[in-house]
Amino acid sequence: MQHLHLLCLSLLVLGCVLNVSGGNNVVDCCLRTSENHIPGRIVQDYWIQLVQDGCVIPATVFITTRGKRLCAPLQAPWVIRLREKLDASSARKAKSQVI
Amino acid sequence: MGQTGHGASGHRLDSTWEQQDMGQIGWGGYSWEAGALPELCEKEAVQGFARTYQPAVYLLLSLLGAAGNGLVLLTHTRYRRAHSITDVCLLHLALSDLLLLLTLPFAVTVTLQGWAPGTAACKALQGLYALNFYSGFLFLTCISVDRYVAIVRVPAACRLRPRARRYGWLTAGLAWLLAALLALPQFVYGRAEQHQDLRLCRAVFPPAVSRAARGATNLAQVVLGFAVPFLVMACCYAAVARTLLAARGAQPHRALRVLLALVLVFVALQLPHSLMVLLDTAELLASWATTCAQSRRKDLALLVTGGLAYLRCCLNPLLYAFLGQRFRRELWLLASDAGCVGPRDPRCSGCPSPRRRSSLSTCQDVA
Repeated sequence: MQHLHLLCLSLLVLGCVLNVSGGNNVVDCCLRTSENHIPGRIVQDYWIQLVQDGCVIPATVFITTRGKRLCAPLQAPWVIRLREKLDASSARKAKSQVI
Repeated sequence: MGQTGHGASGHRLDSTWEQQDMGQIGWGGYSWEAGALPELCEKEAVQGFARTYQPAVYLLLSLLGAAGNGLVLLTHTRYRRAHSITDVCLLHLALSDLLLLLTLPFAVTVTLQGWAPGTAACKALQGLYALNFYSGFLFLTCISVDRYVAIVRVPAACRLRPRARRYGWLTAGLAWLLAALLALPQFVYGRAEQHQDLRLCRAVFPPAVSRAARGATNLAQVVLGFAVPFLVMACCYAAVARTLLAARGAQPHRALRVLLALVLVFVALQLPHSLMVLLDTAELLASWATTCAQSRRKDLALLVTGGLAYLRCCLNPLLYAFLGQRFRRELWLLASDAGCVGPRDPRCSGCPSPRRRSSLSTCQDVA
């Protein structure tokens, strides 16, 4: 399996792969991000956008309480802090729902 | 939620943002695009178009292609004992196009309702698609090379003729093998996975290589899917055309028209998609800043040109097989065998096949 993996990776590097997608490739994407901080109070959820999803850049997409979807960098310290906070609050919410 | 740990200044900032978030509704969504916080580029309109365009075009192409390529396969297996590399390649090209077109209805169901079957089926679909995509181009290239040899390099063609059938199968086998090798990553990385609210079937590359992999992937698609076949075809058919013009025989113009049609259709159907993929790659690798409107237009263009590129699979039977008189005769035989029409000429297996270009020198002339 390790060998197969290596073979495929080298094929990738050789540029011998086709981005096969008969399906729908149109994905909502963040096209740029900014370093301006998004305050924690206005966001309620987030998801992570990756290049392999079909987007040009990786990013964190924050959903505001008003339903707007804002683009932030993937790895900036303030973004990671904000994501952790949202993870914690959603875990708390899920727990209270179970109980 | 209120706990932010930012202190007093942080709270003041928060309230400013909150006001902007509220005020923004009245501004009609333009403020973030131009402002400090970039917003997600939503493509609802393009996605809506894709949901009607893809099913309509893909299903139509599947039906047409299944009919055309199915007829080629039927006549080839029933009436034709392949005696040239081109014959064998035509047979395999039809098979490859047919299999590729048969994956399209699955792509449509993914577009409409997500991927219900598991990862194994997804691997099979992705792999089959890639395999047939590559093999189709390889067969087209082989056909152009064989025609070049048959018409321009007559002595070599005559030496090869007795073993042409064997070489044909060997060529086809090598083409399938190469295509399988190229499609291997799709078999390995094909995966059914959740994306936002849809379950999709696609090849997911390891995150570490994702950008380079996507760039390489796109470049490979352009180079192997367009540049190489086009260059080989253009060179071979240009040499064939020169020979035909010099021969000044019975029907050089008809043969030239066929050649021109082959090359033009290939360029017209494949070039737009290849250019769009190239543009996409440049954007990915150079990280060009694009606006949302530009991104929407690019996705729309990729969608439309992608559908156009599949049309090639339907036109191959028309261009390569139907234009030949031999194939039309076999089609007539098939129809009469099936009882659709009365027999036009008595069926004879010993009938010599008409020489492809009567004006050209044949092996007898050379020998």
